[in-house]
Amino acid sequence: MKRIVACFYIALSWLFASGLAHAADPLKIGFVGGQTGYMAQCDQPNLKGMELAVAQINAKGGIDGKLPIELIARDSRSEVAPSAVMAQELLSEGVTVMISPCDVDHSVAVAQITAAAQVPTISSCASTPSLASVGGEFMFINCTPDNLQGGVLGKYAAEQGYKRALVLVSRDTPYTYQLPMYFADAFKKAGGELIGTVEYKLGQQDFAAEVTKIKALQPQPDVIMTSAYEPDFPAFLKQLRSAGVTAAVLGSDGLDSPTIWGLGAVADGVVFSTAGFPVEGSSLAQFASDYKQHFGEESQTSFNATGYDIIKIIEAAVVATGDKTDGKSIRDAIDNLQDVQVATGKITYRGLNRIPLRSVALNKVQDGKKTFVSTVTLQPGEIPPPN
Amino acid sequence: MDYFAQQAVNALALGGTYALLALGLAVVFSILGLINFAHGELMTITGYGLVFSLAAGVPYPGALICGVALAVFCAVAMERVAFRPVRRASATTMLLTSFAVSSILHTAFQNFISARPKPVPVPEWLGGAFTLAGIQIGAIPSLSILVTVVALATLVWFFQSAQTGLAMRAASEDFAVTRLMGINANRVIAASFAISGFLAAVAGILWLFQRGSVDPMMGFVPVLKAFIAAVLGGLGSLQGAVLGGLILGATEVMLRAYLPEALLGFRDAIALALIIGLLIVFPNGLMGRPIQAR
Amino acid sequence: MLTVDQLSVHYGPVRAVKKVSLAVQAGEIVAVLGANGAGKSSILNACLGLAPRSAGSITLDGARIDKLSTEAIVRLGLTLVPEGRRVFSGLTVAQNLSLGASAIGKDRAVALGSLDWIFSLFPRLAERRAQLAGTLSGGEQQMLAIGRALMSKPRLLLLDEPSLGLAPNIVDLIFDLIIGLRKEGFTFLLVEQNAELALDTCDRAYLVMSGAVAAQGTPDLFRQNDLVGHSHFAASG
Ligand SMILES: Nc1ncnc2c1ncn2[C@@H]1O[C@H](COP(=O)(O)OP(=O)(O)OP(=O)(O)O)[C@@H](O)[C@H]1O
Ligand SMILES: [Mg+2]
Repeated sequence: MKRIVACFYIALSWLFASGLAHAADPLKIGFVGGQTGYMAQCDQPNLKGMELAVAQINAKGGIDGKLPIELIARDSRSEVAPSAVMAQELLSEGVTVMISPCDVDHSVAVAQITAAAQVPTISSCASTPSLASVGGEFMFINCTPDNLQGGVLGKYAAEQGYKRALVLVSRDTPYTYQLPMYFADAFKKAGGELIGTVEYKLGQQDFAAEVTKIKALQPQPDVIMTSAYEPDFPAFLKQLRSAGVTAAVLGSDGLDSPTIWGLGAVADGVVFSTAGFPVEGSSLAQFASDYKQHFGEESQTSFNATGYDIIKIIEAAVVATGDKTDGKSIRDAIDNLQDVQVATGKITYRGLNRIPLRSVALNKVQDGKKTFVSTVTLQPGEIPPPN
Repeated sequence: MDYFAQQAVNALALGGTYALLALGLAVVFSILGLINFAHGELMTITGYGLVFSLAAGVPYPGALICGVALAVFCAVAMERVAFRPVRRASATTMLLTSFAVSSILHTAFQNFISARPKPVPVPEWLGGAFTLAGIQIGAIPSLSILVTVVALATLVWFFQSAQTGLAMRAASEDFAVTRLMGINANRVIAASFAISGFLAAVAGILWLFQRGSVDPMMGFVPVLKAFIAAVLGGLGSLQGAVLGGLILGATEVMLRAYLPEALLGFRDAIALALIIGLLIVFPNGLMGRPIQAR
Repeated sequence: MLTVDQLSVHYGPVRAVKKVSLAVQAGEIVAVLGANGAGKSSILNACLGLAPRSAGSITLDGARIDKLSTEAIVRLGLTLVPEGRRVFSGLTVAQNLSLGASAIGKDRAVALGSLDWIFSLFPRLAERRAQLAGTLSGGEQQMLAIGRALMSKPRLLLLDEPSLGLAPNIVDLIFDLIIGLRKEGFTFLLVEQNAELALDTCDRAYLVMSGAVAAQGTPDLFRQNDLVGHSHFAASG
């Protein structure tokens, strides 16, 4: 028995020694995400995007050709408490930058730990603007913030000549509640009228009561906006159309998935905002082909690209610091980034209190395909103020 | 009036689906004293069975049958592999086992199939609606109601007349004496799981028609609702489960239809409060037997 | 026919039956007597695999049955009418009887005319065939419990306190039936607290005290030695 233990120790110390003997220490990036549980449908694809970015950068010798990246991912099981535990674990493994889960609350739990350690933290896809202030000086948002998306959609709806809007909201998450409210703000500011707010619960499935309610409205809304995503959105849409409601339907980036345009005729004409559209020759088209080559399968969701973006942001920030890899320097560098080219387009943090400015692409579902409508960049005055 | 009639149809459709699910839980509970929280995963399995058999080129009706058969098979396998070894253990052990089965399946779906939803093609005609006596009824709610009625009628016949059905009712009253009749205990238990799998599959298909996709977490919310319905009806009572499901569905739909906007955020709390109120009046559920030592 | 050898039954740490041995020959009526809690029911239940046997063996016609499942034992032609009747109260009389035939299969029971036979033994059940068993009187429930067990035409019937809580005329009816059936070739092992009644009916008896056999022999032997005097039956009513 003793001999086995001794052998084990020798093997272990040899492993350590050989690990340390390698050239440069890599930049350790931690990712606490929901690899199982309800968030897995976002955080699993996020992780794949990150892996692709890391592989590409390391293939060229690392950031700036000299600093390789080591990505360490931990499963939060889509629960708050394990998120904090995993963050603590990753800190003791010495990560320099942290990526936190897709959901706001979970990101806040991680931020409480990383802020104290002065480790810059970027949420994989939480988009509630208040996260950046609640999470503290080291907390960054990656995805298009809700107020920006709501603003773009509200402006678009008014431009289409819609007069009366109805929003379908769920108080279960800020994303499904605040984003439609930002939409309503922008829509009203542009001259439209909000004629109703209908509520649902995440995972509700059955929208018969809500649809009957909408159907009974006189006059009918011209447009219905929601940031519901799967499985709620398809269920709602099918039931809405089968009841004969013909109002236009607008959605947000949660809809950017082939399973949405695969819904068939019922989804025809649905317009949704997302981080980008893979126009020929664009960075997103390049990403899609790289992704396919690396993983041998098509990218199924925009979360692949937004996960990729995070690593590119970190890369740009480290390059900007010169050679520094301490948390404070990287944080300051991210906070100063301007027009960084990432997979989904360009991203700016400078002067925005850690909430990114991104261009927003509008897409329309047509004949079972996602088609490009336009890319919108709002003027600062057009973005509804975060609340 | 029209509005109320429409909402009543909606209530019946949702209540019927809950009734099927609650009945599936109750069939197993009445015999084993086990609340099978992995029941919802049987719905999910139906969905994957449907998706994969369609992908393999099976025509739609055949794929539906494959989905149902897979759920029935998995229900029986679940009993054989997970629950039989702990059959004589305490109720808590069995409950925890069912939680474990449920989360193992979740994780397996997420890692071996996909964490993302898989689209389930739904026949085009199900998107339609027709008008009956001045009220417009969607094809899916009508189908839900029809399927629920047929499934319940078949079960009533089964439990009234079929020998296996009688044996299952007997087993739910007194398991030891049922064995004294020379009835094979394992077979009765397997039959109860098969029926619960069948009910989960039928409810699962109705659910899939509404949502158009299957994902690993699909069964999570429905099994909670079914559990509430079964408790409301009286755990172990089959009629109670159906009644509980209908009441829960109707309560949810009517609250969603008539609560003022300001209160809508509290509708689940209100629904649960109403149900707790009912349980205070009927501590054993609406049709439950008082729990007694035998 | 049935041999119980050195049987012990444990409920957790509690030993309810201690090395009990008894035997029943074909065509006999054997009684097991004893006070409340003596372990009588435990012995019968153990014979059918319903009580946890910790030691000893049980054989039927020379073959071990103590490792078989309850249903397998019943299919060998040995069955039990449990203490307290335990009819399926939510099922009708006819449904209860139909389940009773499960051991031999419904077709075989029809071929044997089991149902008509039971109804001829208990005409009251025939009148109430569509009634829920839970709404029957205590006596009728006991008739149903016995009728249900007889549906599979068992060779050996174990009866656990068939007279419990019944009016004297019903008790007489049931004991007359037992004597009648014995003449037709049925064998009985009977647990009774009503010692007088049991001794009047049986060929041999065992007295169980605190889980062990305290005495055994013919009814005459029991009576001569006053083995079932009041001292042993303090709790019996
Ligand atoms: N399931 C059980 N779990 C624990 N102890 C038990 C169980 N069944 C019986 N006992 C105990 O075993 C002993 C014998 O019980 P048993 O029922 O065999 O007695 P009995 O002779 O049939 O009594 P009675 O005349 O009251 O029916 C009693 O002390 C009883 O408390
Ligand atoms: Mg007893």
